[in-house]
Amino acid sequence: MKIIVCVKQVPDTADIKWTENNTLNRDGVESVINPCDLFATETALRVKDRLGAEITAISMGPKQAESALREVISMGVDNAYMLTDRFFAASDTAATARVLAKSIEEKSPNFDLIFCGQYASDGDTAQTGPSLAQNLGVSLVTNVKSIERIEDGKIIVLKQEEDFVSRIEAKLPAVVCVLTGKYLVRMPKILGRMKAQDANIPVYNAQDINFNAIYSGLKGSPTYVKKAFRPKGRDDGEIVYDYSAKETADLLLSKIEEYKG
Amino acid sequence: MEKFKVSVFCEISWDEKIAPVSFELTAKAADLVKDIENSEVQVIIVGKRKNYDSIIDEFSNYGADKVIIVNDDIFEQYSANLYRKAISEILKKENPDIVFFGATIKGRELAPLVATTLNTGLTADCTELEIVDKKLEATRPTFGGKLNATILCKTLPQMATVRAGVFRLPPNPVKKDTQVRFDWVNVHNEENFTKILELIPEYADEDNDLSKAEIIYAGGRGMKSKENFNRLFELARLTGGVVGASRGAVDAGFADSSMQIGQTGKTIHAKVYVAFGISGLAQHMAGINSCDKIISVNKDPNAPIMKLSDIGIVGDAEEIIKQMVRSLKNK
Repeated sequence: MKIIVCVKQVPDTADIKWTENNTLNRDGVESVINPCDLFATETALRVKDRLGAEITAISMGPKQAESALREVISMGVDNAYMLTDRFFAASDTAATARVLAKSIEEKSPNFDLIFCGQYASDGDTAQTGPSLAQNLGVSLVTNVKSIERIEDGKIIVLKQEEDFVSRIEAKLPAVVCVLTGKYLVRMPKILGRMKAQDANIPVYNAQDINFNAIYSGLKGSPTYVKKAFRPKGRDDGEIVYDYSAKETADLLLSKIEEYKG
Repeated sequence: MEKFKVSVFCEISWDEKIAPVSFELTAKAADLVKDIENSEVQVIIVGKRKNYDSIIDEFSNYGADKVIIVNDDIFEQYSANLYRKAISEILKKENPDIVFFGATIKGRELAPLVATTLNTGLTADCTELEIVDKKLEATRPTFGGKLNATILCKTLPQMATVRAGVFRLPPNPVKKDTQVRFDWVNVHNEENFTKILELIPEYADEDNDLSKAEIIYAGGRGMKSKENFNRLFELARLTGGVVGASRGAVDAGFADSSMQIGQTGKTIHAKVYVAFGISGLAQHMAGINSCDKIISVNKDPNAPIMKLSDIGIVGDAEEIIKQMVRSLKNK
């Protein structure tokens, strides 16, 4: 079985602060693997544990995102490649999905499964996985909680719906978008770390994957950001200290009464 | 002059009800185009029903100029690929300027499939929509709610998804004389990639429905125990509210996952949100940003939620909840 995992490196959003000039301060903000993508990786590794598989991780982004790929290799992913090109920069989800799809067609066409995180913690659009499936013309299941089994060219998964869970069967090859879950993501072992250190991670640009770069980047993306601004905060909010439990309770009850109108 | 068209996808849920967000988006679309000459709000329904009269009626009430129905036995069971095909074909025929989907689980799956099929752009989870010079300006929170971005689309149709409850239903909507068209799309040659084998109900407490509640009390890790959550339920019962939880509290086993609020849980739109022992990480705030008023109680005056609240109270959640229950009972 051949499995692909899409991995995105994201800024740790908890670290991002606003400066006094209303710009985002990303200094010292650590880059991490998008949490859902870690669960996607873990899901792929569990399939490998059970059925045997070759797992390839792909990341599109700046060169430093290579560290994310080394991390997933240390967890047990077999190989990885980067998609890096200045013409890819500022791609929206549609353009990103086009690049990913083309790279998969060129470099790893015989896949059975592609695992993606359901959403990225920075953009949270949850669009790239579905768009990738459509570009490749394969099955799609989103909001996946867990994999039940894979048999007869089909994958059976549990999908989280609005107020219940559904059991879905999808034909392979399929794109499966995975939620974060309550299970643990494995820690790398020493052997894995050593393997990751030595791993050869090719970096492909648009030309390497026969991709026409006019369909990516700021120019090739159908959407663009007109402006970005600080959300209306609750700046006129107040902080109350040193009230007794009784005083606080009275304040709360009267405010709730007032606010509910 | 060509008609300026806004299409809204009508989502029918498993229990045959129309997802409220479909009405909310229809009403919003009607409001957005009210000053645009020769405009049309059209609702696209894909399904299998004997009768659409009552649905059409409701969409008329919220300002739909046209309802387009693609009715076929094959749509009895939801299949992403077949629905994608049906919607895309109608949109190709109609050529709308703008298309809205509810950012429900189904909508978040279908909208990118349709957008990719039509080779156009899509903006997810918008919280504000405007039409300026016939261009859609869609604003959405990003970076876990720390930044708002206004996004435009260069291609047509300009597509966007919106979460339920972001736009409230207007109290006095303008009823339209709605035109109805039954259409047909051949999806029978399309591959049916997925099949629903079973629907498994989850424990859902109907008395504790976060989606419609006006007052929500939520607890975090700082609640320290399940017993304190029971007190929160008592407080909610006494004041007509419901109870939610942060991911931290759910992970710690204090609360059921159906109560989880935030990016990975539910998005809420309460009039008053009271957070006990919740630090207010971006993931949590993304779920509560559209509440009218936020009150937080936390031991730590530097907890991020304090600055994001209308009132931040430094104190012990357990003690304060006990006292609130006591005060209410002594009334």
